[in-house]
Amino acid sequence: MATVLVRPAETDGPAQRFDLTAVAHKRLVVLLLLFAATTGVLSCRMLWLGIFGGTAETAPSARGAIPLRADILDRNGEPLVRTIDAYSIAVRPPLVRGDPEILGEQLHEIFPDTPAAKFTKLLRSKKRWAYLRHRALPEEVAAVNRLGEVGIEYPREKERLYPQRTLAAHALGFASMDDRGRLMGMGVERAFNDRLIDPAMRGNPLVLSLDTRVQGVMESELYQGLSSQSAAGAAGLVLDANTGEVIAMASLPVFDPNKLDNRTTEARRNVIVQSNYELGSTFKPISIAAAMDAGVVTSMTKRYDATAPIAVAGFRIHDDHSMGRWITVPEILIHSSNIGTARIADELGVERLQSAYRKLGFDQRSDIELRERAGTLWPSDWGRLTNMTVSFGHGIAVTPLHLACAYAALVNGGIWRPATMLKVREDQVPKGRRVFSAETSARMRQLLRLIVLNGTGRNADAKGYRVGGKTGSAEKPHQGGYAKHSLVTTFAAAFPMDNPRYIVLVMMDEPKGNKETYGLRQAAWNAAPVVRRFIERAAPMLGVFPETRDVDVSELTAQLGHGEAKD
Amino acid sequence: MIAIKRLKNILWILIVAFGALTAYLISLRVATERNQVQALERSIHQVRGEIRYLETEFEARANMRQLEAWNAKDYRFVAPQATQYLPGERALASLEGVQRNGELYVAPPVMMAMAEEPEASATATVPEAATPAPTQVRESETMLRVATASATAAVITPAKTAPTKPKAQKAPEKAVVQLAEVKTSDLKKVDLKKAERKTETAKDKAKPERLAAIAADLRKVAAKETSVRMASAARPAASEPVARKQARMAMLDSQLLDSGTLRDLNRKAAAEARSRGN
Repeated sequence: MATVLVRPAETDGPAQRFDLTAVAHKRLVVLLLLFAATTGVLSCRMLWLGIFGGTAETAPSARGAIPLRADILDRNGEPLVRTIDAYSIAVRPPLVRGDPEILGEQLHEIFPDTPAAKFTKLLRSKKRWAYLRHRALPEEVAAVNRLGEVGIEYPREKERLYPQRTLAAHALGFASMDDRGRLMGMGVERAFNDRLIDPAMRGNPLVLSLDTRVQGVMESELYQGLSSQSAAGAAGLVLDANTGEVIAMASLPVFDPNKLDNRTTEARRNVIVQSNYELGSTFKPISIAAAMDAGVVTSMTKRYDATAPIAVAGFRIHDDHSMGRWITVPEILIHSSNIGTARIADELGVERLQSAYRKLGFDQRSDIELRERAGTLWPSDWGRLTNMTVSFGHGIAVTPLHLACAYAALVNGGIWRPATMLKVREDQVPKGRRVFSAETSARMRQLLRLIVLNGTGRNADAKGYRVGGKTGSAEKPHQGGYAKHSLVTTFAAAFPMDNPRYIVLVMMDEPKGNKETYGLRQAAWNAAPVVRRFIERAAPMLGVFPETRDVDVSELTAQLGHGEAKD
Repeated sequence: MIAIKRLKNILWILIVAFGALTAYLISLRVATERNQVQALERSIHQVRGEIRYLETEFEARANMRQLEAWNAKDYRFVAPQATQYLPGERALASLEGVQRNGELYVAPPVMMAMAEEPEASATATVPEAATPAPTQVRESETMLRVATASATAAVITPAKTAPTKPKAQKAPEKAVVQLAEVKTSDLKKVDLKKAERKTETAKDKAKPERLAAIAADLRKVAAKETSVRMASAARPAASEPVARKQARMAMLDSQLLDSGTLRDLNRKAAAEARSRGN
């Protein structure tokens, strides 16, 4: 019998088993690592959250206090423009339960300026959602709520609010986008738009140089002057003579930036920076100061021939009220003599008068931040005749702001500084540029005070406040010529004259005159009294108090002859 | 041994567990605290927003135009005139209300009080104040001087050592004590100084010539005293309290409500009405 021996198959059992355990170990280790990693990541994350999470979470709530657009304050911290959560009233027409007719009537009672039919139409409309009213007052919302209509709701929206309404509306302006997304609008809101919406800056309000109280006084006095003289418009400007800050800027008629509509487009013109005028006699002190600086007028006793009109290039320069004799410089200013000023300008020459006017910035747009500022009408052909007429403010047109800045330079020691809408810290006052010498400026202070004491500015003499200034009346350009009866009367003043701090400029557009002004339409009777009343009310607010001492003008009064003052 | 080792392990586990628990509890506390702080911050912001809204509403309602309209309608305040400002403290001190010579001048009220006056035997008739206030002021001023003079005499009398005339020795009783809101007259100052000087000299065992001077002075005082008598005789003197009271009332009436005062009041009211009308 044969025995078959089969070599048992080599079993690798133990090795296999060993391998399996190793694999299991490996897998377990991988799993362990995985768990460890997950735990590590989680704990790291937790640590991270624990350390930095807190601050990350509190940040958004703090950010909630920062308005979307910065507030605007006046120089004393009084809010002029704010962004608030305003109420508005909206309706979901499908949800309205009540009768639209009755509801419309009830809403009309609460909002009398919107007709009931309009409300009814909105309540009946097929829209899913419609505004009934923007910017509702809280009590109006409460009144609507009492109607008990479930379809009406009161969403709160961010709104730009001007608490002072029409006050300083032209200076503050507004910002809006047109159809193509371009920035439109006017005033500070437009000029500083980038600053107002800059996330880094909008937490801090923008502080303007305006003073709400002074602005209020200016507007109220202008309005009184405007209505009593049935003028077409009026404008007023108060400028800090030593820093160029605009303290008040008013232009009448006004508009309400809270309610912009197309009807107010005409009223939106800011006359102070947007319109240029031939400002007439108010230029005379500037021209004479230039002549004094140039050494043409060497003495206050020097006399100029005002006996007869000057005929130049087929044009006659004459005085409204001829003096008929030789007159001194104080007399030229007091009687506002065109002939005298023209003679001085002729002696001064084209070059020197032009350079003085250029130094005052009369050949370019003003330097204020507002975007809507207008250019000037600088005579294209400046010959001998132009030189003479320009010296008394004819044939050149600038904005009232230009004139106010020039007067500031005239009285503050001779330094011209750009006007600004922003409050200027004492250490940040711009250096400016010298236009007149200090001696000329001192002499002009006397002369301007003299005009108010003895000349055409008598109606502006606010007792005790040492006002000095010059009147100016100019005919408005009209269809290629001058409209004889539509005048622009201006009074440019500074006070207190012993140390001028503020420039006040008041302009009346087409005043008709009244009984008080004896039917006269000249600056001495229209604009000057407004300046007086303004200074009497506002000067104490500006820190200027009445005093008994005054500017010494005795050496100049000695040079005065006798004669009637005219405008 | 093994038991202890196991116990150690358990102890460790417990310690670690306790530590972890404490850490967890602390972090829980911190989280709660943080939540509360956040809630508080949120409410602060909310309140700030409300304050801002209310402020704005207030500003909008009390805007310059509105205030001016109210003033024009109801209050009618006007800005102070230049003359209403005073240049300094000196001017404030010398401020005397309305000018004496002004049209609307009414004399400042003169307050008077009377003391007992036994020897005064004048009748209790009240002199009719025919003239308005200025006269009253003048009258009271003279009264004041006179009263001072008599007071001086009273001061001197006790200190006197040298013999003087009996007329002066008779110490005058306080006839009329007057408290007046009128300016101190120069005479009063002079008299007081004199009185002081005299008292001193009297204490110094006065020499004859000085005594003579004092005597002369006292004679003057006595003369004044007689004028006191005369003046007080003209005043409403009173033996009976009732009559005196009546006199006082009459005097008050004449000061407050006599025709002159009434006329002044009326004129002032009319002037005010006129200035309002403008």
